[in-house]
Amino acid sequence: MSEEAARHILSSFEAALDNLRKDVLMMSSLVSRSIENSRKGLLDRDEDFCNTVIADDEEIDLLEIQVDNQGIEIMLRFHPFASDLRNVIGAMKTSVNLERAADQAVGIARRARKLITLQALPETAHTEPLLRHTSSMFNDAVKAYADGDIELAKTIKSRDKELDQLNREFAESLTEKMPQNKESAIKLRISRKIRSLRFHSKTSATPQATQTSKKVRPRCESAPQCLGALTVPASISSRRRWTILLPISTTISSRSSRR
Amino acid sequence: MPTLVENTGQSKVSAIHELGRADFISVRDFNFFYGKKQSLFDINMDIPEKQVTAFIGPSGCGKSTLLRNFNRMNELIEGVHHSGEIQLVGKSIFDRNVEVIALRRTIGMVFQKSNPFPKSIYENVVYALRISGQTKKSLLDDCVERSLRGAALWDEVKDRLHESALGLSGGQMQRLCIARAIANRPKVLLMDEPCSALDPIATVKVEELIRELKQEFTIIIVTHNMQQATRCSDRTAFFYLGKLVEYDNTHKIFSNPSEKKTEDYITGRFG
Repeated sequence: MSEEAARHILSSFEAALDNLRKDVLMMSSLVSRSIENSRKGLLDRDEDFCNTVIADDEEIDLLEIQVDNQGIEIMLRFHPFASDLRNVIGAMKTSVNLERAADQAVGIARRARKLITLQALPETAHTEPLLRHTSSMFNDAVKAYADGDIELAKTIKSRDKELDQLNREFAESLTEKMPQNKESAIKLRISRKIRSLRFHSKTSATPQATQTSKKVRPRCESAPQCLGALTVPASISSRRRWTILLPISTTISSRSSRR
Repeated sequence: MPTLVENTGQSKVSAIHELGRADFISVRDFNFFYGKKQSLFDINMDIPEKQVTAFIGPSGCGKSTLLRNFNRMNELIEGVHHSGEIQLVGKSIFDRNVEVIALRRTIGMVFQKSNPFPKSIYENVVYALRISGQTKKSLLDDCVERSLRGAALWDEVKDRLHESALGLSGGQMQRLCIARAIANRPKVLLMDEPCSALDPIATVKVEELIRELKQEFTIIIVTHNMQQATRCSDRTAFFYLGKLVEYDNTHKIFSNPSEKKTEDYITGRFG
């Protein structure tokens, strides 16, 4: 039973899991594009990019519903266990986070559209490092999910602190100027939207999440982090293997005796 | 000091009762052979008291063989032999002083295919008591009601206790077999795929019964149905080619098993 040959005997089950994964990756790709377009719309003062973000949101919303339905279908038909179960639940929760990340991108685009009608501010360029950092984290989270790269996933949480610092500095600089002009107020809201790309659902691979007998709400501190936190190693004996885990399952496996 | 059953020349089952022992049944370095063919290899496990332990694994992996060793049913097969130890409450079941018949009263068994005797429902339940010499009607009546209630069958058959057991439905027959097994107040119930021949409704009724019975009995169940194992059992042991691959809490086994073989089996990558 080699790793490469370990496909499910039930081909329909294998196909269903593959399709679910592909839809999540498609959704990730669309959201990544929306984040990028919102960035361009804001920094380049390009209304077309903003409008594209807003228009694309509908497709992302539909994909979220599709992933949700597929996940339920898989659980209903195939009663998955272990890594398969974690994959399915992880995909369903990831799609929720992705949909909310797309909503934040839409929020940025809407406010950027408003800013375009106003006089250009030099502070706009200050959002660039924030957006670049967030995009990088998001894209790495997607890559970690796609490749099952646990080490990459682990790095995302630590990079969150840097983003936090950037955001704080930016918000402080704008807050000083807020009484003076309207554009700064809008920028502050944009900053919060960027920050909200990190916060929309909360998933945490912390010891508090280990109370599996209770209804633990997974908490994601960021869309990238949520995706990244879902990819955690489940080492088996001396073998290094990865599975997509719910953060709660991550914590369970982190407490297992073999760790 | 709790005693196992002893061959005292009397038909007597000693009370063996301890609450919550983690090693209620203890298996140590157990190997089993059908003639020259070895079917169990170095089995080591502790089965806790008053919990449901499920044995899962592909066909031919040895789970039923191990199950039948707990009440020495395999000794009915010619040419079998073993090495290693199986202990019940710290006493070897293979000890020379152990009376096999009495052991099998302490460790009851329910089989895949329900096998009620061609007698009335009442006589099926009291059969073991009668052959042990019990004749007092009030005691027999109490035993019947207690056992049938315990098997969640009393309400369905209380008005026809003296009708043939063969007239019952499949699910009722299996519950009657469970009632018959618990009539003797065993300490352990062995169940070899008890629901495989039952319809879904009968299956859930038996599963519900298992959940209730574990308050009083230690239950070991062999099943091919992994959903059943997750629903019914507290601990699960996965066997493959005669070896115990993994044995842990059911939740752990089915959510995040330690062994790749276990993962591959329960996710349907082989079997």
